[in-house]
Amino acid sequence: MLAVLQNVDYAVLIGYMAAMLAMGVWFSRYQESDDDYFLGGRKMPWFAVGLSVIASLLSSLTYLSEPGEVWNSGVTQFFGKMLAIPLEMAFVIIFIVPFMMRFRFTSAYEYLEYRFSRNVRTLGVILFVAMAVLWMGFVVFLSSRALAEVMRVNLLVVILSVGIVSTIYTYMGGLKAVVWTDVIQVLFLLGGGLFAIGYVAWTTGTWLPQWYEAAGQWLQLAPAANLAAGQSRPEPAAFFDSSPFVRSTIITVAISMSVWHICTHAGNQMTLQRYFSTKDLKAARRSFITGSLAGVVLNLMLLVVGMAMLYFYFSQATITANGTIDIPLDGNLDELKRRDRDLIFATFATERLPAGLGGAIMAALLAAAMSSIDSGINSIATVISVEIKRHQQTEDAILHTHTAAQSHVKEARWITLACGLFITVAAYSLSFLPEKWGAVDAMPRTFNAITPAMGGLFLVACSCRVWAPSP
Amino acid sequence: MIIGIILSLATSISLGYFTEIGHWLQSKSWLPGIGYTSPNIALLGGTVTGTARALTQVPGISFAWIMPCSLTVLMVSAWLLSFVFPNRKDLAGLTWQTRKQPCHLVADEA
Repeated sequence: MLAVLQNVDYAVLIGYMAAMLAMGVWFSRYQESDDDYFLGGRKMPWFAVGLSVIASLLSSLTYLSEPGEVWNSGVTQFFGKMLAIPLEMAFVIIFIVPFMMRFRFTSAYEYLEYRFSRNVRTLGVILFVAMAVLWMGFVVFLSSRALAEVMRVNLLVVILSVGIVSTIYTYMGGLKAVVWTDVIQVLFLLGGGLFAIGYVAWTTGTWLPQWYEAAGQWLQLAPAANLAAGQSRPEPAAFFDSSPFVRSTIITVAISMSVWHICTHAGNQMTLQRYFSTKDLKAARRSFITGSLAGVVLNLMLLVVGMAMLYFYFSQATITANGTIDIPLDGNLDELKRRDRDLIFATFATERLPAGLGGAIMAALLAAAMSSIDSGINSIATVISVEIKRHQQTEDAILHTHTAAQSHVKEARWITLACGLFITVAAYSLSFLPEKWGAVDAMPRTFNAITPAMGGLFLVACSCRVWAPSP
Repeated sequence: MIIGIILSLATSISLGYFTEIGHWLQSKSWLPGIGYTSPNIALLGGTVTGTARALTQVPGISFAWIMPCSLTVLMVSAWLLSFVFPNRKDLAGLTWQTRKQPCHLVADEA
């Protein structure tokens, strides 16, 4: 076994963080108006915006959990997600993007005041801020925990590093820094996964057919095998099962993912703000398509990473006479509990990959976390800044104008800083989360519990002639 | 709208923490031994905690059901409450149905 991270790995990690901060400094030179800081002057290139959207939505939670999910349910999650894509893409591109791009708001929640009332707008803002703080807190916490465990360093140190670096470059560079660092981070995400896939293929002399076969064998043998106490069994999923207690089926995952995607595009400032930053509807549509296709590629890559990890370890397993499967996993993963499965990829990177490559994958993990956090911080700051401006305007002004010439960049920067620090603190407090939940199961029970309410608010607003006080 | 949001959030929470809520209720001896079909009713009705047969030995509800049920509750309650609450008179340009009508918020038409 190779040693855990070496000096060159740490150099890669520090270099990555320094590069992100440098980009924040670089883009801080171009922040003169609110539109510059919050929307990149509404001139952001569509391909960068598209990659930024997927970098924001595909957080380190996905990057960690997807390879581990192959150990839980094989390729079910992936097929479910892919099945959802045509439906959600059609809905978003036909109904949501064109509709919202007509208004050119800065904060998506401005729409709720015109459509319903000021109270509903406030409720939308509260839901978004609560969801984003929880989401970002989760992202910082889970990615930091993974890094701390596999690198064997203190959790608080990692949380502070991830939270503070993301906050500083977002504070300085606004949306431009967020979008362009996201583009770099997507390249890290792709590179990290491809490195791991290539390494397993090269060292074992195998490829997809053998990996797929190993995944099938694992799902066939493990449910009936003797497992140590505390280990969770894999749950190979059916095409559909109407029982709500069956963990996942292809159809239920597809429906759930469709709802998540549609609600996230309908009512989440993090995605809508990206589209508002493009110059017109055509560019926004191109951004959406770019982001969706990049999402398919990244998810496919993570699936293959999961299969490669499974083959790598399972091919070394011994099955004893009493039916116990003994898999020689690395690090602290000897029990293979559900939570441990989320750490398989990260542990493999630190324990097995040559010096430098392990650091690159840790940097990819950081990239996945930071690309979500920066978007969250920037979007929360945008929404709060717009709300503050709203309270300074007269009732007449808000009903007849939706832009303000005055610059609030200085205030927005302070709000950004406060949001970043608050999220960092929230991340640490999430260390009290029940240990038994893996990332996939924890997400709908926490921040994603708010997503359907938030997205549904916009869907009702757009589609129904209901629920507004008489003027 | 606010009622719908509250119902939707209650759905997410009651489904997400189904087992935990069930165990808590049982520990308080409030709902001992409710029939097995209750969870399904809870899924449709969406809301409030207790509905649970969950009380014991029932596994947690799958993560895949939480968001669709929550959204369904919101949309259905929106439709039902629309019979009670009044409409805004002027929705020009603010819904999919009225999107082609003139609206001062739309840049090209302002």
